[in-house]
Amino acid sequence: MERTFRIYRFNPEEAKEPHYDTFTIEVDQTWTVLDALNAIKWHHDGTLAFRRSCRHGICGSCAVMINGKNELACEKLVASLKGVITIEPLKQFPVLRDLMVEQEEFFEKLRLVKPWLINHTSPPTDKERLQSPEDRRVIDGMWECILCGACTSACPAFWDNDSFLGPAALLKAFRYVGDTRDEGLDERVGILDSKIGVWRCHTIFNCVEACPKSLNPTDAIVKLRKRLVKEKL
Amino acid sequence: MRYRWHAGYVAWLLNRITGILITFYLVMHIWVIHHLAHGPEQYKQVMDFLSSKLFVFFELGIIGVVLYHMMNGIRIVLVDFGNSVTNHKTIFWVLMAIGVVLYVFCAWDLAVLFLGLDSAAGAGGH
Repeated sequence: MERTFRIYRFNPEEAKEPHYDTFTIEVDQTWTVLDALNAIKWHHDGTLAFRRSCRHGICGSCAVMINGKNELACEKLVASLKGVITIEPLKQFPVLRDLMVEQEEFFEKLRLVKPWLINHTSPPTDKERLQSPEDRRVIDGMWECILCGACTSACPAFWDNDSFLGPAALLKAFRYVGDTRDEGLDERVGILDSKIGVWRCHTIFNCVEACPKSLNPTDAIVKLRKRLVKEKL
Repeated sequence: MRYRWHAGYVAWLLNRITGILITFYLVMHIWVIHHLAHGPEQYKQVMDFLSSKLFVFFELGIIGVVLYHMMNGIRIVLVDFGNSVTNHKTIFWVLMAIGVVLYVFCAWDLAVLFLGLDSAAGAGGH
């Protein structure tokens, strides 16, 4: 079947304003949007720029806005979309070219929350640092984030102030703060409790709507807030 | 800039708008009350002006504005301090339904006045 794709194009080195190119191509019933983007790049316009890597919804490279919704191009079936399919880069991040956005700051904010296990005691020599199943469940829905940036791109608090850590970094922060094996809250509290930390979230829930992995960053932010309040009391 | 319409976004947007309207109303309210300092005559003049149908209509509006801000405020407290992050949409619609009932209860007398249905009963009270 034939489908039409309307794709955002922008090369900051050559043009002042972005424009849209339309491609009508033959697609298979089983194709994802990424398959279609590949077909356009390989057979119609080799200058089309977009990121992709794993093709299995786990690397987070191909997050784009498809018909106004943040999606992973490799997981969204073309057959599930109606009419002309509009593909745009994630909002608010600076566009490097076409569907590729600058994400260096996004990852810098992630580094600020120290997304690794901080523990000041030596691990047991005969076994791993064990958790009870109940303790482990606390971080369910927190560790699955693939850092695609869909949530942060959809966050009005981030649009308002792009120094805000954003839902992705805060979700990852709770993945460790909520981990019973972690002892690093003291090292993270400075950034989490700052002007660019958890208090900037207005619980608008755009991040939850945008997450292609159906995670709930607002839940993580609210839990971080409760934890910070408890620590202060 | 906007992402997509959904209950959480609409709730936040209306909270901002109603917040601004309430601030505006409070300033107006203080302006009206300050006429008390100028004596009963001036205050009566202002109150007569505010008794027009247009201002009764605005008052019907401000009841809705305050009720919305209040009900959504309860939702935000439940999200922040309760365990309502995952069911915030249901809570939004339940609170809005309660808000509508409260609106009817609170605005009934004013609506009667606005529609001129009170003249037969001779009731006033506002």
